[in-house]
Amino acid sequence: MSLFGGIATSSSGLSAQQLRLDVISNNLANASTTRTADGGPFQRSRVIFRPIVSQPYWRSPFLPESLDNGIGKGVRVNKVEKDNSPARLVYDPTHPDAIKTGPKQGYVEMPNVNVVNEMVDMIDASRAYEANVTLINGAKAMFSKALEIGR
Amino acid sequence: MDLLSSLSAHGGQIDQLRSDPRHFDVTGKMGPLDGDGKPVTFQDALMTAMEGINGDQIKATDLYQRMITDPNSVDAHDVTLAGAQAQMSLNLAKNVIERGLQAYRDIINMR
Amino acid sequence: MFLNTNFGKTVAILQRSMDVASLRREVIANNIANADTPNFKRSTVNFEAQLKRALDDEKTTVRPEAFLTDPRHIGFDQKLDWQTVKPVRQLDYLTQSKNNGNNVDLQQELMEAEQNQMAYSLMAQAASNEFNQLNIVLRR
Repeated sequence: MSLFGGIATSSSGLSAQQLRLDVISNNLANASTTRTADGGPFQRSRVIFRPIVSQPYWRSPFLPESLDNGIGKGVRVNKVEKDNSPARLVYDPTHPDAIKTGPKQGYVEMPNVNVVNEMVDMIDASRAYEANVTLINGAKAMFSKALEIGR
Repeated sequence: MDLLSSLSAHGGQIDQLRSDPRHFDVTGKMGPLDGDGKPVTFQDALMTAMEGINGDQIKATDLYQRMITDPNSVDAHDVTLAGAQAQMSLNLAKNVIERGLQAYRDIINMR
Repeated sequence: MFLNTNFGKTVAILQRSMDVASLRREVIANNIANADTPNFKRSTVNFEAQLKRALDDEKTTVRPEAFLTDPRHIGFDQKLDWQTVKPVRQLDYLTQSKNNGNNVDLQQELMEAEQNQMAYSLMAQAASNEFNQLNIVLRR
């Protein structure tokens, strides 16, 4: 229970969803990049979220109430990792990045970015962003009402 | 006890009707109606009320101080409620004392 | 004025905190304006922790006696006076930067601006409450 707890928690959600949107837009922009600086096609990235828990964090299932963890404090980004699913293969022998030798001769490795999935993720991120903004507005409205006590 | 009956009049004085334990009796003390228990004078009652008001004010200013130095340990409504309560108890005390003094003046000036 | 009474001390502390809130607002506005400048590091204002330490020093605690043999020795009962605590602007170079050396997170700055605004409203309400109480007694 604090003055700014709700706002800090929702704000962490806003930062996290914004970062997720940045990652999605990078994936979409590079949806046709067949060669990156370290060779190979572009691999899509994704963001891994973890909760920010109240410290100290007890793990026992039989917890007395006085040692309860309390309410969490929002979300943080654990890491931005590359998705290692296999690349798509498109047959195009005239492409400069086509594989020259081996059983896959003539195929081009395209990035493993599925545009539809990325668009759905983007809608999800923006809805979550809106929900967090609504919560912050609600917290501000509650604070204004509290200021009217005894005015 | 019927005030207008002749049994409660003694010379020029009339007995006092106490219907609540908080009414003062003829000796100036407040206490249980049947007369036993520890009676309380008007001075004690007034000082206890003043301590209560002071306690409210101190609680409010303590919450203001905690709001500044440690914002995550107080709630917004706690702070404003404590402030409103302190203000109201002071207002109440001031009005009660004012009316009490007015009543005293009225009685003294009765001809 | 009346600094040894509860009323005077509370009003003085509230006034100083409101000054710090205005300073903090300017610092946050500067951070937001420089959100795209390369190699810019954000600043913060430190005041509340020092004030809390100074106010806690006033409560009498039992401290061990220091054995002072030289005028340059420092004793254990150094009390910090809350009237001397001033806000300090600090450069925050420890948070993670973006690729252009800029470590301003717009979301965090906006949240801090919001919190600052809320704290300022609450402090103004508290100060007006204090003065209204005096009015109750003096008005007649």
